[in-house]
Amino acid sequence: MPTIEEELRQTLTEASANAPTGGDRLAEVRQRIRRGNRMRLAGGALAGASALALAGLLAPSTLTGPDADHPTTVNVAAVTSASSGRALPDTYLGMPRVTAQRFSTGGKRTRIDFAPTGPNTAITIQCPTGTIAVAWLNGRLLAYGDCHRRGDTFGWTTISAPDAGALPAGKTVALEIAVLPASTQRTVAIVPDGLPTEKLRKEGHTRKQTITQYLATNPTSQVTWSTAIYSGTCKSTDCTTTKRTK
Amino acid sequence: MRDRAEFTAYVEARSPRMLRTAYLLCRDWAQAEDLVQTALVRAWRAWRRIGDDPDPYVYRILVNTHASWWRRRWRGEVPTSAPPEATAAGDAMGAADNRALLWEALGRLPRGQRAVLVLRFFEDLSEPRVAEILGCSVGTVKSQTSKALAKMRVDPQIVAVTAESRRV
Repeated sequence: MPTIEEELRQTLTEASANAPTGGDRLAEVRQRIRRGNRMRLAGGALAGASALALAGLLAPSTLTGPDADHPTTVNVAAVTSASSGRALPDTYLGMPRVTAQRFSTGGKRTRIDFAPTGPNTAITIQCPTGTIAVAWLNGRLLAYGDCHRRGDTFGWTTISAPDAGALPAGKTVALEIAVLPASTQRTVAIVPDGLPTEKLRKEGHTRKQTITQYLATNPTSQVTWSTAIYSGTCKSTDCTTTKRTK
Repeated sequence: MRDRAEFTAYVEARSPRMLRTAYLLCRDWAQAEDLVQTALVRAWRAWRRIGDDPDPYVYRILVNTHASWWRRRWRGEVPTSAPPEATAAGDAMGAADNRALLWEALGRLPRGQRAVLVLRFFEDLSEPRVAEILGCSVGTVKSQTSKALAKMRVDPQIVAVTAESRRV
């Protein structure tokens, strides 16, 4: 009889054997690097023309490709990110921005209503280092994670797609976001409301409080964070979804 | 230019395997591709500092990025309460089913323990190498491996099927 280690080796090998083929990963990586460079340039533009000129001078040392000279599509004039002061682009992955808002209170569910305008929606959240964001959509727990911005990417992004619970265009959605200290993850079970304690225990949650209980019993705090929501038709493979095989 | 050539060669040589590892961590091919590309972009930014052996650095980014992305994407999957059918002992199809159960059980492990198992039993890395990637001690790798395997051995679905097959 094979040991669990042997079974595991075989399971891992088999489970990952059918990697999708096609697509040029190197080209995609290069494109992301260029996009990051452009975002950096755009961020630098806020600091003034001299900073932009300097960034331009530095650009040749980064990875460049055939379309590196294309003009940037990032609009730097509008909204800035809460955590970094950098500009939020007008479009993200080809989707126009639906709303962008900035807040100064953490530790509570803050509601933002918006209506998607297309099949894909990207919700982005920016918050300071050492905090996390928890998000609910129409009252149901959606996701949580780090939300501080790392260089070229938004702090926290979640993208809806047609085969993964997409939000219907035109229908108003209630998004709620709570920004909390990152240490909360270690002490609080971030789980949907109403799960029986027994089920939580079976799933390995040994923490004493759920997120709802935590928010109800802890005071709010001062923390600056922002959210930007983009909706439309995503024009990137970043929005590609997986077709389930079984 | 040398950096660029080395990076290109590294991506071409290592990224297919990296994609499989990423998939085993996140269990979604689209997210795995995203994870690999994100790790490679971050690796490129530090390429000059990485040195001759980029693997530990890149895998560390991969594992850490996955940890920070937990539940990042929309959840379209609905869990089922129906238990899987028991399989007969010695049945080849049964063995495949058991591996499916093992795969499911792996998905129920905490991210850290799953990462340890993937690096140890898929990448076949030594305990010191896994410790280097995860930024922890060899002792932690050993204890996490042991805890993860123990959890899988007592996973209720695996236990149920094993008990059923013994009865057959």
